[in-house]
Amino acid sequence: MTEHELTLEELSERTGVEARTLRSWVAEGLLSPPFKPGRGARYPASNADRALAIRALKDAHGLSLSEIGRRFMMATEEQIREWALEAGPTTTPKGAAREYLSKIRARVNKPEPVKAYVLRKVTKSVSTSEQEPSAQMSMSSEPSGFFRAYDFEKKQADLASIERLILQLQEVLEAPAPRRARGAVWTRISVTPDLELSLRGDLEPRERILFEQLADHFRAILTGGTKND
Amino acid sequence: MTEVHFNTTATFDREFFWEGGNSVRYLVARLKADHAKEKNLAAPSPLNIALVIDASGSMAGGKLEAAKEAAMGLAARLTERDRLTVVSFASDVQVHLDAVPVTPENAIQIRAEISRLETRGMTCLSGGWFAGVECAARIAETDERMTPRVIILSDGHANEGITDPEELREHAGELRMRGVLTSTLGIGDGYDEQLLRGIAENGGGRLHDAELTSEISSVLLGELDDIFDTLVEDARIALEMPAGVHVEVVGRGLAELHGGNLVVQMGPIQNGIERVAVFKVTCPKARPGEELEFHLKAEARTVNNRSWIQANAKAAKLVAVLGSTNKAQRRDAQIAEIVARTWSAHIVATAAKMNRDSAYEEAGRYLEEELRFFKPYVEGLAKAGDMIDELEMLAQRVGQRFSPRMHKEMVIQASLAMESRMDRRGLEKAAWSTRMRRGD
Repeated sequence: MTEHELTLEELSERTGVEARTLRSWVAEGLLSPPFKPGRGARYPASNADRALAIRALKDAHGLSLSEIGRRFMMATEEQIREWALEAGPTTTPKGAAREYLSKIRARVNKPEPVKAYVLRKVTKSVSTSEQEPSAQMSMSSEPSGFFRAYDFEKKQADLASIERLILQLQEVLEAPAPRRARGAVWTRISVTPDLELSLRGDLEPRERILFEQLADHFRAILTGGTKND
Repeated sequence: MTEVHFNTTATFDREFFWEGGNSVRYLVARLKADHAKEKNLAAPSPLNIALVIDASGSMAGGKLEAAKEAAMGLAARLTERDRLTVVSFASDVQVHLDAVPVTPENAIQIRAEISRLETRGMTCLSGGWFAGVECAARIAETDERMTPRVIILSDGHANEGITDPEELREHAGELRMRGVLTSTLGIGDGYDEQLLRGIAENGGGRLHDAELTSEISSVLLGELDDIFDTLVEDARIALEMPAGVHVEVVGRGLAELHGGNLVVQMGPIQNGIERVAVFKVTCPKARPGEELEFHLKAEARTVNNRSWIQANAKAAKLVAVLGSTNKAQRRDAQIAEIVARTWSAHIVATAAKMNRDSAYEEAGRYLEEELRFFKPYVEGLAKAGDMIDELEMLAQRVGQRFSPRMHKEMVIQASLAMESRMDRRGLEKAAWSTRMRRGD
């Protein structure tokens, strides 16, 4: 082993990131894979900077892993080292749970403007919390941009329809969709000019109808139009 | 002064290894927590429970009603020292009870709020979970005895909010390190058992299953019993190993190397229940008489006063010998039975995951390879024949897709075996192998 190679354990000790988490980052393409897989696999030492940069971008900048992946694609090694320097001490932060949640929420809220967060609390005789509930935790946001024209209640109805369709599809397929892509036959159903559903295998006519209905719902959500436009 | 006896032992299945190297030996670490007195006289710590209930459309048809009944049953067993949060999640998240004291005055209102839960939309599991954590964690910030205990009840797959299982597992671990424990209760045949298992294991809690709607209540109250019986939480074992050995943990996903020690997270330990961790040790070449010494430490946090306690450190060693002495040695049958039970459960859980992921060929190869070593190892042990029959049947059938229920039974029964837990659904539930034999 050279100084340019590290085991996963060494990488974990150097970065303060659990080995399990490092593995998942490798699987997501954020870190380079080992030179040779298997027992005692060696990873490029440059993964240490990348792992620290992920920590910094996640914790300090509140970015999602997919967003970090996009930034890595455009970043120079110099830029990644700069981010790594922001990561702080390598021990796991032991902050309060609520502080941790607020970071996750800040991250999740960015790409998901449609989420509604309805909070209601029982009367004061029951609750003893001193804080005002709605203002304190409300994450409701007005539909904006792409979703502005989309009526909230209708969205709820569409989502319920999608849920029903998924249940019907599960019944038809008798199991949740397999996780691993195998086989070469794919059925493609267009949703919008930029988006399509790709389904592994040939579909029975009944399955095809259900997936086309699902595509209709997606189209309605994305375009703000009615389902049967 | 601590009220809990926390003990550990470390024992190898054999004491010698072959000087030529590559001998495989199993080290079994046993952890046990007991009340120091016959009966615990101190008042138990107050509870801070957040029920996070799936209210998506698929919970219609009796499941949500049963979950509501179960929640009311749980509330009825809490006292005015305890806090209860109830959150429902679908496409949105609603906080129905925000860490309210379970006083007699609040009882009617608690029932009324729980009864208001209605099905709607999809499954934003992460939103509901985090809202439950938020409510319970706020209470813990002012009273550190009030460990936030979140219990997620769900019948489906997370399909809104954060849905990536790895990310959710990671959050569960991060929240555990910040003092929040998460258990999960899967309802019916449609939930994602691997996701809920990952959250519960990383979250320092327990995975439960309610196959039937009628079981939801007994399982949820069973989790409450598990909480009442828990003496220490966040238990962990650190194994210090000599140079040259290779060590794997059998059946536990949560093992990490820290400062040269292999650290295994063991989660909560109940009064009088023995928990085990099995380490598979591959030995190096050595001179006859050379010793490999292992040191094992364990620590955990007591439920009552949240202080860390350590078990007395234990040492275990292996001695290198010539081939003839190695072959002639006896093994510790009791330890070998623990190894076989844990190993078998690990194989079953792994095969269930591969089958669920449609990795049929890999599953077949995996079982063939495991059986090659498992069969000679269990020879001569009690129930060896049954264990081999089960795994051989599994090997024969793993090439075809199992039903969602079979996946769940395999995973939940493996978890129960590895964690020495009681099946809260009742004693009459059929084993996964019985179900497979009868073609379920």
